[in-house]
Amino acid sequence: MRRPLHPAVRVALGVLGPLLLLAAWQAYVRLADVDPILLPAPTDVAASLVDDRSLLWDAFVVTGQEVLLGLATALVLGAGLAILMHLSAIVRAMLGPLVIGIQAVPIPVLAPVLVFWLGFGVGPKIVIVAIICFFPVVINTLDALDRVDPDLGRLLQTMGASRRQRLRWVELPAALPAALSGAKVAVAIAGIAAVFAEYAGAEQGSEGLGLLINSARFSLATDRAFAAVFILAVFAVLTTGALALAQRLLAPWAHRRPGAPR
Amino acid sequence: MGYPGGSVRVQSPPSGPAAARPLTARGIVRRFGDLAVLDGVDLDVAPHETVALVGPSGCGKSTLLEMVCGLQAPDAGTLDAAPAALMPQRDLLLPWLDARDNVALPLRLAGSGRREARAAADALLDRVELGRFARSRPDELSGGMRQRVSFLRALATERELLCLDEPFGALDAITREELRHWLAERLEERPRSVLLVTHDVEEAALLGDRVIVLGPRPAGVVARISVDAGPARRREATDPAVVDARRRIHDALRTAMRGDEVAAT
Ligand SMILES: Nc1ncnc2c1ncn2[C@@H]1O[C@H](COP(=O)(O)OP(=O)(O)OP(=O)(O)O)[C@@H](O)[C@H]1O
Ligand SMILES: [Mg+2]
Repeated sequence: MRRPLHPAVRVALGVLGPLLLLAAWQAYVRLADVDPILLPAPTDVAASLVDDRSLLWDAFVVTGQEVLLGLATALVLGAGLAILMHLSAIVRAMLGPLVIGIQAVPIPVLAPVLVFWLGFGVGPKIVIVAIICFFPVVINTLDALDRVDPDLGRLLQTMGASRRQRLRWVELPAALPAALSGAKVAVAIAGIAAVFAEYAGAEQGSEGLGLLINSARFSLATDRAFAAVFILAVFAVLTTGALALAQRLLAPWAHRRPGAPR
Repeated sequence: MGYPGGSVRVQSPPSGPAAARPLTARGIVRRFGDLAVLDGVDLDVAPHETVALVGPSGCGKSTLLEMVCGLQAPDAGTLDAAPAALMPQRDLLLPWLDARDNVALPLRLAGSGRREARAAADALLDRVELGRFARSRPDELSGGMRQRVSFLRALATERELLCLDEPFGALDAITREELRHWLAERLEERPRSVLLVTHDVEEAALLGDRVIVLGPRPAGVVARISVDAGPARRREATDPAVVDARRRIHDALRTAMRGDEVAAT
């Protein structure tokens, strides 16, 4: 068995890994004399993070909101749909292929239609992020529900439990940690989805990191585009951590404590 | 799909006249497709009596308990049972609930509030000195501890008839013996009518007031043995009456199995 690392050591290593990558990148850019318009050095990106901070922050607030609301929507609706599909073979047969098929629709095809319906605000972006994140949540939750021991439900029946009570005591607790796991898988693609969704256009003053990346590349400010990407990456790490924490607090049984007394 | 001929009556609590028998089964037949499992089983459990049910693996013991608990119906025969609590072959504790909430579950399902149900569960756990495990989840408990919690959950239903399906089947010999004593104590404190499935002959002789031996599939009753060894709590494996009961159970099983071999050739 692997020994678990001390949490402080784990965080330190988690920072050290990216730092090593950044150091190698810095060395490569300096030694090979790479054009900063193609690939800026980490120090240039850092400078942009400081210089353009208010611009970046405003854009982040928009994108962050899109990602979190989209993810939350996917979590609630995805878990709900998974439970419906678990309960009804008809719903499952009807919607199963659809859930998978919608995954295959490229965002640039989807975005204009949604913008047409929902306008240039954050609405269509949230919907796109939700659609993209929906799939891992549904699949993961459904999988967990399928693995629930059917004898648990039968035992509850002998205690006189109704279908609703079995849902409350058996299916819902089984679905919860799985839905959160699905959301964890979805976090990284949520950021990408938000960026692509923004390409379809936004209102003045509600431009997120996606549009910022686009215009930065257009004006050859590649360092600013990378600064935006850096923010997206850090945000993804933090969101995943928050979801892991939520899982531990809301579903402690799904997290076997190492060294717990047996 | 119907159950031709089979009839089930669940006594409504309080179960009729005070002396009503918690379980009366007559001519129980159960088939799964072409597989005839039970073939005309008669079985009674008197109030506060422990009836041990022994038989070869796969002869339909769990199936019989499920019928008594209302999870399936017989294909023929009549079954008249008081509301029964099941302690399943595997503990089947809910992994997301701690020991206390698992014990409280039947009360919650019957409509008690959380606080009230927890207080009752705590009382049950405390009385058997398991209070310090109240907040442990099943994955933090040993196998023996999980079985105790599972048993207390069945007790918490307050149902007159307890159906215990190999309650100690998955345990090592020492824990098994420990739990057997523990169970006898619990039943002495608060007598219930018990239908106990086991394939441990000694366990049947030590806990049962009567032992019903089933033959191989399609199973019928091959022997009914009463154990005149006093209350289960005070029995020892070496008591002459226990030794005698063990021998008779063994003989009945062996004869039934041999008959099976003869029939197969
Ligand atoms: N739902 C079912 N469908 C088909 N066959 C079943 C079903 N339930 C039980 N059986 C079969 O019926 C037979 C009796 O099963 P049961 O579980 O009652 O046996 P048992 O006496 O409890 O055995 P064990 O001692 O191994 O627990 C077995 O052969 C089993 O495969
Ligand atoms: Mg069985």
